[in-house]
Amino acid sequence: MNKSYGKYILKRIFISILVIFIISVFVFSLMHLIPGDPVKIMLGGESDEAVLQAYREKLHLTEPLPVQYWLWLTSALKGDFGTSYALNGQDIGTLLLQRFPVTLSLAVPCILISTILGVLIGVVCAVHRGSAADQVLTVLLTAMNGVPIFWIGIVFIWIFGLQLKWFPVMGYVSPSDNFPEFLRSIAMPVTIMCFGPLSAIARQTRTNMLEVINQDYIRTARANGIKDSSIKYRHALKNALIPIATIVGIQFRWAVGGSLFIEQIFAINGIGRTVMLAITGRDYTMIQACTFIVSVFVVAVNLLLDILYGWLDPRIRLAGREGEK
Amino acid sequence: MMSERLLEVKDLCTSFFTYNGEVKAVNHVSYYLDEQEIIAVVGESGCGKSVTQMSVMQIIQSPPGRIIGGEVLYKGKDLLKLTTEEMRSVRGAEIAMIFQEPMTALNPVITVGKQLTEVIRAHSSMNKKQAWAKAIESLEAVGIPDPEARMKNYPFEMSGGMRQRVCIAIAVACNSKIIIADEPTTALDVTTQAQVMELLQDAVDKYKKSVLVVTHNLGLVTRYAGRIYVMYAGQVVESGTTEALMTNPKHPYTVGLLKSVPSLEDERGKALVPIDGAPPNLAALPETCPFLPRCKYAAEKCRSRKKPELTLIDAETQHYTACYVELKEGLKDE
Repeated sequence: MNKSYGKYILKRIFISILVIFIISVFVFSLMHLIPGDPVKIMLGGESDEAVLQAYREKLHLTEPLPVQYWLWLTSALKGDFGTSYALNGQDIGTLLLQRFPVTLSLAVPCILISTILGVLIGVVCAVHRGSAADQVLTVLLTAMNGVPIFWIGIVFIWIFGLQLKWFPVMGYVSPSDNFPEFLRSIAMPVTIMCFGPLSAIARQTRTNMLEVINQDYIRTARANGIKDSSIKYRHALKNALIPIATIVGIQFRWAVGGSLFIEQIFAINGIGRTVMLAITGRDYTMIQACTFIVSVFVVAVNLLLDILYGWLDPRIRLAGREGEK
Repeated sequence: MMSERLLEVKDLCTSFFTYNGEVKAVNHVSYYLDEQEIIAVVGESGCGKSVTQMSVMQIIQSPPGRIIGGEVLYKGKDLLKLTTEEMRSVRGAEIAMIFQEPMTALNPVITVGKQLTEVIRAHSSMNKKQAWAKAIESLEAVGIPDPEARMKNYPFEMSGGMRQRVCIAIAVACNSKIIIADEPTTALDVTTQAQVMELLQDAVDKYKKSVLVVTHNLGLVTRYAGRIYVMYAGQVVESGTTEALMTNPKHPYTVGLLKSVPSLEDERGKALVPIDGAPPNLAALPETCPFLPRCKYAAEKCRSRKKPELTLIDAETQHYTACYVELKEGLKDE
């Protein structure tokens, strides 16, 4: 690794930290921006004013805002997000530690499968542009992108769960408990989650490949008698993949955010379902914690992407390297 | 006449089939290139000069482009009859091509060294190490300082002139007989232009190559090219030795081209004479001479007759022209 790439990565890390700080301010403000007294909601509207006041003090709600923020941030960074009142006083930190990996165990396979298959399909479509395969796949991809998750989820449950009985209709088995059962339990949710990302990645790959194939350097490679396979899979794909990294990042974030639906349909206790419970139960501390954790995750994915860009594109990695300009 | 030319293009026709009909980009073009000579193909944008060369290399975007007729004889065998794989081994190895835009002609995400060695290895049985050494050698041959360090550079780390040198290095590295240079100097500044032309001259002198330069820069090319083909609307309208065309142009279009080029010998303040109008639509070529609407010398016979054929007017200078009007000598100074 050279110096300028290191500098580039350091800069990205610094920006990420700054973004997380700003997010923390927003997340903290959430409680104060949403109308209604959280303590009243927590204890019920008819509670005694003295009890309410005691609770406010216990939750530091009587302190000045910056002090409250500081208290919240320092404990959040230690993993202490307080306790949930929608889920019977459970410790939120521990809860998230259990549930976030569940969501990731859906989202990570989803993105891996979507990326590999998506790039493959996109390349095949671009290379055989206009062929029957291209046209069928393009229509299929567009349909996959348009179909709503909740509907296709129900259809899948009916076909593969109830009729064919291949996969369990709901629930989640931890991979450490029983790995084959884990795979069976995530098969349907992951397949459905793949619809959107796979479609987006494949269509973007197709477009990029077609664009890249018209570039001058591809013409040069052809004029130099480079083998067709090398032109497509080395010269063209390497350039086409750079914008794909963005799409993969966006889809990964979408997969985590969209877990809300999929977890609800398949009754999986991941972060999505937890957020759902927190919102319906007006569990502010929990909403805060979930929002914060998901945001930090998104920033982390962005950071990884930026580093990946540099790796894919020397123009980013080596910008400013000593040399003749 | 020699029995066998190094490269002889006969009656080449390339069309693009678009929604607006057939665009005849190359319309019965013939030319030849002998060993160790430099020739130039000259014409304005869209006259088919680049498409002709891309047809010779068979790197036309298809669809919509298609070579619909003619022969491309390289050492006597017709390249148009080769299989895809046979043609691939001709490109780069026998005939190399360099392009107008050195900025975009090299792959931005692959190092110069890797691009060079890939081409070398595609046309030889060298291993990686040998190819690497050969690549360094050819970078040195085109005058790139510190070639070993340069091998690890990406194209964006080099200047335009440097990149064009790299493109020429690729052509030199593979021992190709012919270099087709498609506007090699257009995107470069004036001092670099001359350097690139000198390099091509070197390739002829030192490496016994033949060079075909496609250009619209008459001034630059006349110093190097032995013969010139002037193209207009997909056809060759005049050809001959550089000397003959410069001193005694017979086609009104060539005359116009010469008048629109500034010269040091011109008086200060003397206005350049542009060629009025625009080239014809190649999808709807008239039956008559394609230059007719823009021609200052058009006569009645030009309007009533079909387009003129390329005819020999002076065997010694191989001067051909496709014009009915007999232009008198010295006309360009009129």
